Amino acid sequence: MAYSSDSILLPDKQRCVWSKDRNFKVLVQRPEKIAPDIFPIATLFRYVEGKKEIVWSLDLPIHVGPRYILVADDGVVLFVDEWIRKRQTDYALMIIDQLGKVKSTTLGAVFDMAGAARDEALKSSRFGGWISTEPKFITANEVLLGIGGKDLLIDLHGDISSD
Amino acid sequence: MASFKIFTGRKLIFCSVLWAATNYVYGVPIDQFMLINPIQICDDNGANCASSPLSIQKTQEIYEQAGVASIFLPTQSINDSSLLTVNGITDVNLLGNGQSSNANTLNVWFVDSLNSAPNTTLFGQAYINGNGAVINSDAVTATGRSDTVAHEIGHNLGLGHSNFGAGDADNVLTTGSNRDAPADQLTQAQIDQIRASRFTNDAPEVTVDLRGSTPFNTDDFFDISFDTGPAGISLTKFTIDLAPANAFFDTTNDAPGNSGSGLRTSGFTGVSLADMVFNGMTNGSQSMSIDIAPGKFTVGDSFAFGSDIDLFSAIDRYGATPSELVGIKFGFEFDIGLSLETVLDSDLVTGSLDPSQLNSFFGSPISFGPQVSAGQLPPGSTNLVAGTPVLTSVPTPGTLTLFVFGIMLAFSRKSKV
Repeated sequence: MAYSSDSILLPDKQRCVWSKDRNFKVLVQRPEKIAPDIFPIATLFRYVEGKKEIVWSLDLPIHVGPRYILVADDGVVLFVDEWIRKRQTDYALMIIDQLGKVKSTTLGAVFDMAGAARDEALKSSRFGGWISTEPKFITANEVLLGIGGKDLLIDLHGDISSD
Repeated sequence: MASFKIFTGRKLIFCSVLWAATNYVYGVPIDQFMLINPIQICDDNGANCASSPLSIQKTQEIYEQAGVASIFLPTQSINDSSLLTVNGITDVNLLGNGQSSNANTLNVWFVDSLNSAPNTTLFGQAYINGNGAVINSDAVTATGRSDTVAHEIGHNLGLGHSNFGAGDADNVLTTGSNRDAPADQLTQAQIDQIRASRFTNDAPEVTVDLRGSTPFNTDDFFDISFDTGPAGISLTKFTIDLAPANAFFDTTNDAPGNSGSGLRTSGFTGVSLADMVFNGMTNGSQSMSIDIAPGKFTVGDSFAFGSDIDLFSAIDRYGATPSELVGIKFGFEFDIGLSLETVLDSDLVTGSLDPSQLNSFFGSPISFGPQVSAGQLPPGSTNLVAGTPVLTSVPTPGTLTLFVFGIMLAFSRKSKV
């Protein structure tokens, strides 16, 4: 009797991303097992005159981990999307400053702010469920991201605000 | 609205776009059902059970699109630590591991976790066009992939990852890496396959016919007949809600109506009054129910009853005519946990499957058929049910060899004592 498996590919157990000037490195460690009370750990390292120090280390509030990891030259970290494809997430974007303070926004809010319809984002997605162009730095503190035919410019020093 | 400062192109965007409406196909008449037998794995001591994310609501929403009610039987537990983490469906679908004795009841095991290939996670596994699925409870619970149970059941119903139109990110049967969970869509081809599956059954049809011109002094104003349905299913509760027509039962000569007639029954075929308990049909009430003993009111049976019914807007006139009662609601509860609700429309005949009416599933499963507990062989033979895979006590050549070797070893040790 034939059977079918519902499985997904996981990211590497350890993912390291450096800032452009290589003064900061962020490490995301995926847990071996996906379970409700087990979370990935993210750690930001700073390199000063060849010495490494931990800036912060925290359990991420998402399982498995983020899809994209970026770190700016000033140590601000941006996580984009969850690795697990979800129709809704509270952590479509996460910005973590040098103090380890986390700001996040929902996927719905991202669609709203981008002016991108969800259906269009799904149709044009090439990376995960809703990203059409991979995120990349275009200035020291700004990341460009494609979603649903729109280009989003994410200011890593932007505040969460109530408009 | 909480937001990052996000720019699009060269301009700051502060726009609000409503979420695209989801494409649920609500209002599809439910005329089929399937039974699901959840089996929770616990350790040898009956503790530390798998979390068992049944995902009942999501599963029901998905299959309602196909007109199929998903009826979850009470979860049973199997105490076997060795099954808390397994490789897949063939590890749990072994004789005596909780399978239903009903060949058309889908068995779904919930284990702590499933062993996966390196750098992958296996959320679930299921036979294609066969009976049996296993769910990785930890992974499903952690990630909120509440469509996993529906996905695996879809395989049992004959659906694959790359046929019947699967492939879109919103489609329930799309392969895990390309699916946005929880997905909720089914294609028409998938719906056709689901409805043709041997695991989906025609739902029972009980008809209500409003007879005559007035309910006053009648014993057959409501004629109830169990027309079609699978063998062994019975109606256990029937309800009437007169509120939508602003009507009430006028069963005595006291206010609100001063000229009424009480409950009278007639026409019992295959069922008797002794099998029923009438509730709530008191003077002035707007709703009533009949509790019927399980197994008593089945296909081919019928009965009728009547009582005066008045409109609050026309008390003590001729009584409410059938056409004045258009809009009243009838509820049908069957012993398998299937509940259907319908509304009387202008043809004055309705029923549990009336396609022109509101039909909704709000099942609270009772039970259906004997359950097979751990270690207990189902009645009959070693072959549990025809068509159910891997339910055989015949060992594979490898295990047969080990078995024979074990016996030889046992005897050789005995001989040394």
